[in-house]
Amino acid sequence: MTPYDFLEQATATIPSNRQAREVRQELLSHLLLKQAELEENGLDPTQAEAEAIQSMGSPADIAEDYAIPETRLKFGWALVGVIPLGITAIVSLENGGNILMWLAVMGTIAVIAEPGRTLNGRLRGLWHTVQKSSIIVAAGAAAGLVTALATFSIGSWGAVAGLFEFFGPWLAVLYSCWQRSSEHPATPLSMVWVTNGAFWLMGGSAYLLLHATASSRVFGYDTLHPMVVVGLSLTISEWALAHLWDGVQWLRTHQTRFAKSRPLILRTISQADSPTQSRTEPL
Amino acid sequence: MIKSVPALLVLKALERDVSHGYRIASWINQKSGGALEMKEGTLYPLLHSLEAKGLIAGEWRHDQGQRPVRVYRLTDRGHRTLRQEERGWETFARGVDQVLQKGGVAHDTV
Repeated sequence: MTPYDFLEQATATIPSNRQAREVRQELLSHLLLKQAELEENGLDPTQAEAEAIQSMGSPADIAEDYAIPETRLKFGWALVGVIPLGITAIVSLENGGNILMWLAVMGTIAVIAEPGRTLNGRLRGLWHTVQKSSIIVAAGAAAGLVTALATFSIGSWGAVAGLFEFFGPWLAVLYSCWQRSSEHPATPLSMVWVTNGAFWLMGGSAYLLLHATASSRVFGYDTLHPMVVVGLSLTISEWALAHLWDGVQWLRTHQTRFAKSRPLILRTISQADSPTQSRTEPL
Repeated sequence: MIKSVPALLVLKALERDVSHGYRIASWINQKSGGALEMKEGTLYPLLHSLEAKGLIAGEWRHDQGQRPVRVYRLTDRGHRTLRQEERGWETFARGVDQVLQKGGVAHDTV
């Protein structure tokens, strides 16, 4: 077996070409280091290459360990089912009365927030938890609908429905983050809670804004714009916070790019240049 | 109970300095007196998994005239996790020792 065949077989299960290329390069550097060591021990290059490949084990075993789930961004097909709801909500908002208006507004906001939540979860490789958390969103929306009908039937408008529908997506995000911290204990829990705390504050503020807007009749009940602005603001805020969170994580894990830790790397490179030292005291 | 002994060993190997996969495997083999051998099929997926969790950070090192190698270092979170895992391992090993010793006593008394 040639090194090329070995590397191809070992990385056959990696879905991303970029990632597969990096893994092949890393395995090749390992192979060459092993080969160099064997040559130092007296083997000729051909024998050393064969021996190095053999020492790596079965490429099928490596490929099996690399059979990781696809984490690249994919279109969330659940959105296809949500879009008609959004259209219905907008039409209802333009043509409906009080209760319909409130249902439409809350539905629209939920619909606007849904792509953000779904894409956000997808970007973080949390598709399965997003799917699970969709149940929470559906439950929140259903509870909101029931409450709205109940409150309307006794002469009140569906403010409570707004609470349920409004906080449904945030509950789902909370659930996703909790799942993430359960599955990956390394995730700093403080960051999860800070992020979700901000979501809740935004949700509460937006709800109060909606209430004030509708009650003051400044904009009238048949206008969509303030509600859309609030919904879009929430979605953008969610994305911004998620990216801020991921950005903080990136900074925490890539500190080697900064001068603070560069001397450490340079020191290690100089150690690695000495094969004797690296064999006897590698760390 | 400790989740992954290989992960603990890799974190320990990176505790004091940056290193690449080949040196990590060699260090574990050397420090264990040859008793532990980290196969490549275990090592590299594990390294990439730990990197994805933010416990270690990898970086390609390009030295002039040499092939590029990917070196890893422990992140702050990795250091904290290592300390936790070491404590967990001590508890785990002590528990196993006690079970084995009690098992031996019980066997002797029967």
